[in-house]
Amino acid sequence: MSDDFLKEIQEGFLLEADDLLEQAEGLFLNLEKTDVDHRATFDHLKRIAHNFKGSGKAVGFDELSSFCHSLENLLVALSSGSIGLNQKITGLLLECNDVLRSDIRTLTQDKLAVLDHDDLKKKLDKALAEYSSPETNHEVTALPTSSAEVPQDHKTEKANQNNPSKKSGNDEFIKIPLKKIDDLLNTFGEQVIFLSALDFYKEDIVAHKEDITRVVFNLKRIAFDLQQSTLTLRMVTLKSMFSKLERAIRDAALMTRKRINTIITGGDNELDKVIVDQLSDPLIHMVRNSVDHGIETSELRAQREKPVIGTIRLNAQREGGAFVIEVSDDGGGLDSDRIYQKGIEKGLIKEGQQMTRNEILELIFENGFSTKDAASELSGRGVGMNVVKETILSLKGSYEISSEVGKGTTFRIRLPLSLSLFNGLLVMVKNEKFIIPSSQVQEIVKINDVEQLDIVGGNRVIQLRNEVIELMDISDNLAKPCDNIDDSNYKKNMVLISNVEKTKIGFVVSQILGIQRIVQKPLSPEMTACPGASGVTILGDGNPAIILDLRVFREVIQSNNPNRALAI
Amino acid sequence: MVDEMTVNADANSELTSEQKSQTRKYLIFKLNDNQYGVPLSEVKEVIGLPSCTFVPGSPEYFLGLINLRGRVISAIDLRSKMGVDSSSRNLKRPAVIITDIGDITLGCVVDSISEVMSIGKDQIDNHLEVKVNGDSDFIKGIARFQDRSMILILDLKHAVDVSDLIRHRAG
Repeated sequence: MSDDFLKEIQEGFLLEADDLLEQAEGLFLNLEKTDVDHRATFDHLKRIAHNFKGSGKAVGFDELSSFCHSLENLLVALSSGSIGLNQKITGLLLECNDVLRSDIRTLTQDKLAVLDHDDLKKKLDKALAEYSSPETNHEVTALPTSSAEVPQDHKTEKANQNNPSKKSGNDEFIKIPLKKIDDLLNTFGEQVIFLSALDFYKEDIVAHKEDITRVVFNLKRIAFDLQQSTLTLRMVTLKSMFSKLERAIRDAALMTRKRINTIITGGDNELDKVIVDQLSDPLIHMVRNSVDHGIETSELRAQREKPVIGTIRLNAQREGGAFVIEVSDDGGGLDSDRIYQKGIEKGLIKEGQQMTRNEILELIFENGFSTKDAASELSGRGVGMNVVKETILSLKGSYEISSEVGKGTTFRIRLPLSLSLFNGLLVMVKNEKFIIPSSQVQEIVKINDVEQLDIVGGNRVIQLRNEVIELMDISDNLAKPCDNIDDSNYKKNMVLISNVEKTKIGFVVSQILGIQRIVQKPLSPEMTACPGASGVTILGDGNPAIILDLRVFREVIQSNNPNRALAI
Repeated sequence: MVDEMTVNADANSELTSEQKSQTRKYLIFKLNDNQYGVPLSEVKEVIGLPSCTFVPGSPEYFLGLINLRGRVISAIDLRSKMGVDSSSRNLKRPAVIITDIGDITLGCVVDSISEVMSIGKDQIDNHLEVKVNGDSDFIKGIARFQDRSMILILDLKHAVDVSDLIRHRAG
């Protein structure tokens, strides 16, 4: 076997292996469900293990293959019923799966890496020996040891999660269903036909005026279709992310000795792979929080006359042009008084500050906020939810919390369907056109229509429905220096009220030209001089335009002028 | 332009076969009345100057962003970048030379494109003593011809260095 060929089939194996292990993890989790017939699950698992063992051996990963052999033995014993299922066994199986996954990552980086499974193999053999004797079959003392093992389990998982984020380069692979490619090819085919028609009509443009109009109309439709189908190539379903979350919930529940049922809906919905990859870690934080802070202990739940087993729901759905992911629990809900107190303690708010209930709830997303006094293995360091917020905002998304004391909490995350395609406002700033993502704009008002325009501490502010909003003039920072439009037109300007930070800010632009679908292109490193520029796009007239991220823009402007203290 | 062509023809006819092997093709363009040449191998393509989108906060030599068949690239004003006197700017047929500098594709805006010319290695004087308009840092050599005309051979990578624009982005 030549080295190149070996390398190629090894890579093929590793790609496939990742997929198999993901399937296996779901199946292992399934085994924990009681009152279900597991025969089909076992058959499937045995097939996967056998396949893994065989192909692993064939491409020269002997250690991997021999480890799978031990695992297969245990699976065979389990499916034949000679060993009873319990949580310790499923814990062990999941641990094996984790180790295999980390093996695959290690091998992907270095195909000659030496793997060592001696400890786990011993555990597998011990499990085989221990449980196959009928006397010990019903031993219940297994539980405490199993929960002692979990932290270790949890760490391996953590290490695994850190890995993919490190190698998130452009050389990543994505699996695409054949149908998507067929759709794309069909549309291309159609385009070719219309193009040849145009070629024919151009011989006599005047005579074929109407035909040409029709063809151009069709080509426009095709261009739109092509854009849509090409974008779907980047989309992946949420299934694998949801099963990762399910696993995180299971582990967290074991650690906190809580009983939790996970209900997943909408996992078939597709979202841009980049978004899914970036969301996965923050969402794990969120579900761990739900387990740790949300769901009460069984005793407490019994006292409160709630079902003893808590429920966490994960739901994904499309809503118009946006994608919504919901994480909800039927736990104790968020206690706004307690959060308010903690907010004062941590110095996030001032004593006596007037806040709505929602504003108080949003404090949990602030850096340094934690209601737990001591950090536990699961949560309490006060960074988790802040990371969640930062990630969502950087993905041009938004979030909502609704919570009822005693009933539970729901987090709703709204995301754009794709990072590279979104709705944007085309605005004029003096004589230049810019794009501002519509998701960052809450409301648009004309300065003329505003009741009051004041100057506070050198900054212009407006009053809108009893709220004082500071204005930030985009043209002050972005217009060409030579531009000298006199100030008397100021009242004709438009204000984009934005909620990119806790306090609303009004961004002043000269004119709003419209709203349109924007295909974002990355900024090349030499183009980053413009404050707040997050990308570029090409407008309908063929000219490039800069996409302004209001949040970054504000940060840059404020760090450039530290004196510009926020009046509010 | 016609004159230059004849110069070119004369120069070529005098080349021996040995010299020819040392010949490279250059794209010749104009800034003011001076002729400049860049190795053709460094040029990806040449386009007419499309409209540019102003980039706030960029230096004067940064003309803006242009649309190159769906790609957005930066246009650099070579005159201003090299410190060539801009008072007698003659932009009748401005052109953009597209080139790759490392990972970045840049457009260099010049007054006009003259031709593609083969220049022998021995025709290029690499020992510069005269400073030309303050742009000598970017000049690798001078090709001299019998009719006393000359072409300044440009180090394009050096001339359109944009490393001052590249900084760590916040966020």
